[in-house]
Amino acid sequence: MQDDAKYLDPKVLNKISNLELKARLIVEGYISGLHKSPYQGFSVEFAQHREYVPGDDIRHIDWKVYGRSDRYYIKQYEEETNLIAYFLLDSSASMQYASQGMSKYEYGSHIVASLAYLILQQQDAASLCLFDQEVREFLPASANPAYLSDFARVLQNTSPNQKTNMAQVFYNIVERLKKRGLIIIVSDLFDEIGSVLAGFRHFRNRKHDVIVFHLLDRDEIEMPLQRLTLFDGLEDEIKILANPRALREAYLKELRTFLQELKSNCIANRIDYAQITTDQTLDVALSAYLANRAGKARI
Amino acid sequence: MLTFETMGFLSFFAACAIPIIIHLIFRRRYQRIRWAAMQFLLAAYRTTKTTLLLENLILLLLRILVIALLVIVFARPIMQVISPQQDTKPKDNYILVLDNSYSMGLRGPSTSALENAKVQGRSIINKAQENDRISLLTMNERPEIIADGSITSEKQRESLLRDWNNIKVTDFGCDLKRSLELLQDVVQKSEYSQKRIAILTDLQKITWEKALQSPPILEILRTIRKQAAEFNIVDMGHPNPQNIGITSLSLDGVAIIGTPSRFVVTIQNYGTNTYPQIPVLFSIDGQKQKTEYITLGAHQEVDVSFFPTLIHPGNHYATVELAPDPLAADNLRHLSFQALEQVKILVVDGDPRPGPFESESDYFMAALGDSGQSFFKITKVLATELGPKILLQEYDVVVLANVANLEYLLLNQANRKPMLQNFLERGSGLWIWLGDKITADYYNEELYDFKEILPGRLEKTLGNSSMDREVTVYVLDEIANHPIWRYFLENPELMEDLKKCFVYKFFVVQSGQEPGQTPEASTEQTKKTTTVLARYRPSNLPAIIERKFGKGKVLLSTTTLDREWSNFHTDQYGHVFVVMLHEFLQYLVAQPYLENNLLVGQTFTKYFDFYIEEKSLRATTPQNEIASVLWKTLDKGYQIAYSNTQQSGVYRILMTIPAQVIQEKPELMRFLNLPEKTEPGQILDAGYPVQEYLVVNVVAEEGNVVCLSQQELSQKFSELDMQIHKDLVLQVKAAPKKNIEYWQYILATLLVLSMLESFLAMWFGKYTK
Repeated sequence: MQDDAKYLDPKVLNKISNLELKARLIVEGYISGLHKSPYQGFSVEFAQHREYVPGDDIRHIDWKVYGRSDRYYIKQYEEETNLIAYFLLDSSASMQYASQGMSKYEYGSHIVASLAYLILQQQDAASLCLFDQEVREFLPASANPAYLSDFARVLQNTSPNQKTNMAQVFYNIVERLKKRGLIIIVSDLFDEIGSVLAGFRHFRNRKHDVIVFHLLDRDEIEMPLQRLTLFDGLEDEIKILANPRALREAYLKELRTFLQELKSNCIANRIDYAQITTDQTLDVALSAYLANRAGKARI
Repeated sequence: MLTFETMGFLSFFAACAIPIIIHLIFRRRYQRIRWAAMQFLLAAYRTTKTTLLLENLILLLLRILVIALLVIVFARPIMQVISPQQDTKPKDNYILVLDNSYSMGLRGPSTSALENAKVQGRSIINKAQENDRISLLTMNERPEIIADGSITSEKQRESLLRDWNNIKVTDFGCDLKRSLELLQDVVQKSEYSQKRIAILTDLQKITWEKALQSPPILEILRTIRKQAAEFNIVDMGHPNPQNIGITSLSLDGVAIIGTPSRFVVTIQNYGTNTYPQIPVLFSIDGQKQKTEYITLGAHQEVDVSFFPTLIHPGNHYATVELAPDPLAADNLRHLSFQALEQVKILVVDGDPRPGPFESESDYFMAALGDSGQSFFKITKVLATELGPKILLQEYDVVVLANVANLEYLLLNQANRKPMLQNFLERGSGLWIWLGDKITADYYNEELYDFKEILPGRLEKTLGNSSMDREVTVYVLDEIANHPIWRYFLENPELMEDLKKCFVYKFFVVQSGQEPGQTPEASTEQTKKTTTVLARYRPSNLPAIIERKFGKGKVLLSTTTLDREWSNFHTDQYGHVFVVMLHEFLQYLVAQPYLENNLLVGQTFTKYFDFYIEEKSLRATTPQNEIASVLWKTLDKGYQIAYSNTQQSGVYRILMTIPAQVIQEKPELMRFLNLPEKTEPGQILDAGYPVQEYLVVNVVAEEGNVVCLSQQELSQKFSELDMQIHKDLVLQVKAAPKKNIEYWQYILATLLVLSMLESFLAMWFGKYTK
């Protein structure tokens, strides 16, 4: 466990070039900690009972228990899904940024690979889409566990270098998705807030379940720079020569406003939002989120 | 007065640039980062840009100020103030007289004489003690007291310094007498016991030499000297002054449109240098006509002639300009003049005969040409034809040739107005030739006794006519130095021939001006108006006499126009007769136009015998500023006046003559230069605008920058016990002054500012992490 955990450190993982191997390390390290599948639902394998609360579907009430105890209980089953998970990884130029070690794109690749491993292990189908201002790569859904190697190849062979236009690209993607599924978006979301939210709404309008992993670098959140700096835009030609200390307060205010608006809109649209910084260990970041999601599912 | 104990430290003010240099260096040293979250950074940059700029600017200024104050602290500033414990009794009266005539504008290698003089005067004002009196006077044709006050405070001293510094070179010449009279007045009125006088002047030879030979001026100087503790003349003149100036610009004769007119310019080199190829630019009404190049040797005077052909009749101005030299004021000269369409002459023949060259005016007509191409348009009438159809106002000159009866000319029978007097007053010419038809008593009664038209009283005749057996000849002699003889004076051979002309018979005329006398010395009644232009030898009696009448002129030739009494018309001397007629007629027509050609400071006045609108009257100065013109009603007409002519240049007098006036006086058509066929109905209802050029020139003499030599100076001024210096050396005891040091206050300010800078730097977040 201890040996596995050390490979979950982004700095260590960065040295491992085989993404498939890294995904396995991450997920197995995580499973060994939980011993439990996070996916529960109304499937064929019974999992547990719980008390009925108004709003539950009465078709799932266990009438046998009611006959014995005069209480309404709901039967819950281990989910035997035919889930399709669509991984949407942002491969725009802003994802290149790395204040130290791993870039946001690399970190996002690990998240995608790890979750894809999990999905495929459960015999669910996974699909991959890399996008910037248009769809760069698209792997259709497949439940074959060997499909992970295709994921790894595509992720490794892509280098981010274009601008982002989320509203347009998400609209294009949603038109490609034939079946409802779980949309997992991994991005820094550096686009106009309106464009980002419009993109999310495209998925929600088609009844997709959406999870957003908002990837940020620690420097982007805290702006710790001290010296006079020429900021050279990764996605455009803008250059700003400024003292970061003087700009810090206003920058953070702008960022906070963006994040607050993003979060509140995600909640309003019933989108799962998780903000992850690239200096976090991947298993902790993933487990914290998945545990959170599992908790929600239980409720 | 603010000064510094260690002035050398002030050079460290250059250190004020250090914060700027540091700022610029730091701006070049930056790290470069490829940044993803540009949208937030850009928004933050836009909202904070102005604030950041302002903060940086405040900090930069504070840092510069801190360094500047640090330098000032080390330089130890001291304020010198006069000690309040000083004696408050009246002390010395320093009287500084500054010559600001235009010659003081002569530039030396770097500065002008006036600027040098002002530097010297400032030192006296600065050194004067509290309660000393300072009197500042200027010396020119209109000397003034610029300032006169006691130094009761530093503010008062600064005020005096300001007045002194504001003295500028004028366009005036130097009137030493008036200036010294003003100085004498100031000295006499001063109650101060010690009067210390300094006259700062360029000691122009032409001014001072004349003054020092004038008893009244010497007396004034002695009076001033007696009352003054010190009397110094400070020589501000340059050691070897050089100047070229225009001394005159004149029109030779009369300007007729379509015919070349002759303008003569006189240029004088006052210095010792030789100048080759000096450009002389001539222009009319501001339009360049021609440039001539002349060479001027040391102290040489040269005449340059220009022959422009004028196109439009009326008032014009000519300008001559020289290339820039050390003294600018006399490099420009103007002349206002009138251009005529043609000269209209009425010849009244009093002795017509049937044969050729027998009538009185036949030679006259032949001499002037009757081809119609001449600018002289001659109308010949017999004396018996004079009547209402003959309107004198249509002519420029009337020639009376042996006319016995003047009745019609003297009084217009139609309106009972004195025609001949009006004709002359307006500026026309009358040339009277005598003869055997003339009755002396009649002429004296009608033209001399009351009307004062005739230049002298006619008496008996002298000599015999050419037809008599015995003749005595009277040769023209004693030709006056008068503009009418200008052409003869410039041509000695012609003058020789003139002096060989003779007459057989002439009227003895009593002109009031004795032989050899100038007009000033003649009798009181006629001295201002009468000039004898030539006399006969051997009798010494007047041959030709001129009399001014109003704006016009009257010439009296005491003999006949034909060959009855004279021999001007012979083949031998015919050319003299022709030239004389042309010259005399042009002289009679030529308006002296003196009223439009003034010297700096003179007042322009003009009389009109018709109404001009007061509200339309205005003047424009050489700087194109509008100025008002005085207007007043006289018994017989109107007079306008403009006196603000202290700057040389061309002024314009603008006025409007109402349409009604022109309709009532058709003769004004000529005055306005309207075409003769203009009907009164064509005159503008609003009146007719008229523009006259008034030119103001500097006094040419003032351009003579030759100064008195040291020897002449010491010799002349030693008699008056006056000191000549090159530098102003009035005895001034410097007032004890109290020094107040300020470095402590500045240091305290410096500390406060340093703290403020640190606080602001922190406040602005520059040092926070």
